[in-house]
Amino acid sequence: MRGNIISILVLSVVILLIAISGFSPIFEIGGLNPLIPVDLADHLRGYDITCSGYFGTVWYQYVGLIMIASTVLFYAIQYHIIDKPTFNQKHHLWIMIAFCMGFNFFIAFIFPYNSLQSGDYCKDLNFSVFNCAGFAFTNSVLCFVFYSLLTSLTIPRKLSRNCSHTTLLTP
Amino acid sequence: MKKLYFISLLFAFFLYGCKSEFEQFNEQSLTFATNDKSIDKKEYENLLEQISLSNEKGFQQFKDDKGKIDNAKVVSYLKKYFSAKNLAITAADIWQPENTATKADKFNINVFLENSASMDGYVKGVSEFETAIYNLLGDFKISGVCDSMNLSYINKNLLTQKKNALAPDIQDFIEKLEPSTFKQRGGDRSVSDLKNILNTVLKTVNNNNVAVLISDFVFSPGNKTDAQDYLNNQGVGIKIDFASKLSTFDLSAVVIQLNSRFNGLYYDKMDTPIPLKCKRPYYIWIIGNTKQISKILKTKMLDNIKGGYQNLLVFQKSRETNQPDYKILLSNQVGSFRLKEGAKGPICDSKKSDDSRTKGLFGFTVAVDFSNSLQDENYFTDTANFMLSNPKYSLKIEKITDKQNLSLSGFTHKLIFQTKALQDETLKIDVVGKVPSWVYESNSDDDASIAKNDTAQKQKTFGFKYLVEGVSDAFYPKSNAISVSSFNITIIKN
Repeated sequence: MRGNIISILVLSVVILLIAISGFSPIFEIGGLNPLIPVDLADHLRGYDITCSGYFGTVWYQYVGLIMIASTVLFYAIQYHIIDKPTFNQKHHLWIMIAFCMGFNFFIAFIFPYNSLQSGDYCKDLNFSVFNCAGFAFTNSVLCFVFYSLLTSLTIPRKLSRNCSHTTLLTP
Repeated sequence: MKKLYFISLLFAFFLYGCKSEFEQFNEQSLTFATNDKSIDKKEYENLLEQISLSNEKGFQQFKDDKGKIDNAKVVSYLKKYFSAKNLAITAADIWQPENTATKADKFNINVFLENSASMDGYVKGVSEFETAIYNLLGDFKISGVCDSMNLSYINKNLLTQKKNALAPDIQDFIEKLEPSTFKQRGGDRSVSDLKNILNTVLKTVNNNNVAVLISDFVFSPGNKTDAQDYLNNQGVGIKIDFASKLSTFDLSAVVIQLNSRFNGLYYDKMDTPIPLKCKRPYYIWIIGNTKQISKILKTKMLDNIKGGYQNLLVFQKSRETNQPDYKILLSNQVGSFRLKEGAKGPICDSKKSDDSRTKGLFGFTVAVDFSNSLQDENYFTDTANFMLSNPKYSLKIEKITDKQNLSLSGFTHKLIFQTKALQDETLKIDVVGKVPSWVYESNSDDDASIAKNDTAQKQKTFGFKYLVEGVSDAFYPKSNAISVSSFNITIIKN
């Protein structure tokens, strides 16, 4: 019960933060994330190709929404679509999380990497492939955190016939 | 399985819905441009409609304070955007609404050529002087801003040569000119009373008439008066005449310095005739209202003067300060900062440099577009013409010549600021109206030595600074520094 309340609180704070400031504070962890340097952060915030302002594609928003949607999708696949007694062990959940993290790593890497390769970014910004990987790693970690929070909530899980007790640690 | 399809479909719609109107505008313009390597009227109007219907932040860069769309900004953005996308599309490939001059917008040009004896040296044989003036008057005639042209010589008296001049008249007026013709066409050619000449010319200027005055602008104090007193008095007189005109009229003036071969007698401050054969400066003054002067400058005909000009200076009645387009560059940072709200600032999270070479310094670079100003672009490269609200900032200025750098495209100058005293503040950058340094470099206070092998003296104009200072004091009174261009940059430490 206490775990449920904590998860709901954390999720509420995250949703509120996203509603107010978008995904940037989540990814940048308030500017403390060393994996996303300032220049890459500006590109992901949408600093446009003509270097005039934040008029370009807000990659944080795309990647963040894909992360949430894909996590919900992976969760739904295991808990509500497959929903089988042969696929309700904790290691099955870990496998799904690993796939989801891999998918999100790929998504978060490919967008800035593609911009970098095609030159489709403000040339005043300096970032590298290594920085793109740092952002991708951050996204996959956030995916793990969100997946963990989602599966720790009893409410959606209870709607599953065969996985209602499946969490990261049980059964 | 149906559930999976449904969720995937929802996912796709959800992602498509993320696209901002500005991104859709970009995509649309790119589609238009890739189709036929141009943007036609229908496509351009479609894009304009998108701009006018949306209040998104990205579209604000195309609108002025009143929300009116600036076509020049739209075309400039599209050009930059297409270039970034490696599409070879120039401004000529983008349809633009034409600004055709109506008959009411046109004006008459009164040309006054000073023909005092000191001007004879410029017209002996075929000189650059004749070619440049003939070329300029021809350009005026065909530019579409000129309704009619009247040609006159001026010395102590005004000698009208031709009203509503046609091409052959212009040729007769200037190209076929020789010192003997100057003499024939008369008037009192013994002295150059510049105050009187300028006053006569000023009287002809109104909303339908622009004046073009051509002269060497060398004062003739004569041997009976003290040269210094004479120059001071002439300067004050010119200032009063211009100030009086400014009080009733939206006056602007362009001063162009040119160079030409001179072969004849030069009259020094004591009126002693000195034979000279060298290059000498002469000047073209264009005087009219701000709208007329702005039109002439926009036609770029002054840039096409045969042989080019040395310097150009614009005086304009200050009504409202021009706010140039600018952006803070993320490159060339000394220390570090972020632009959380875009390239116009504020500069946030500013920190001084820890680097050994620049330790303790904070610096940033601003790209500014001064092309909308009437003033010559060289005026903006002189730091003496800038005033900063915080004198602890040092300023360096560079003209932008790198046409390949997309980030600098559409901007004319780079202003590089540095300080050791970083603090939270709004830094006000003013370009003030004042006499530029080239005027002082071109001025001579004593031309007696011109006959000797003094090359520098031959390139100077006796008393020129008194003339320009007189006009400058009328336009920009010294008691109150007048800002012709201004913008603010907010700097926040943390």
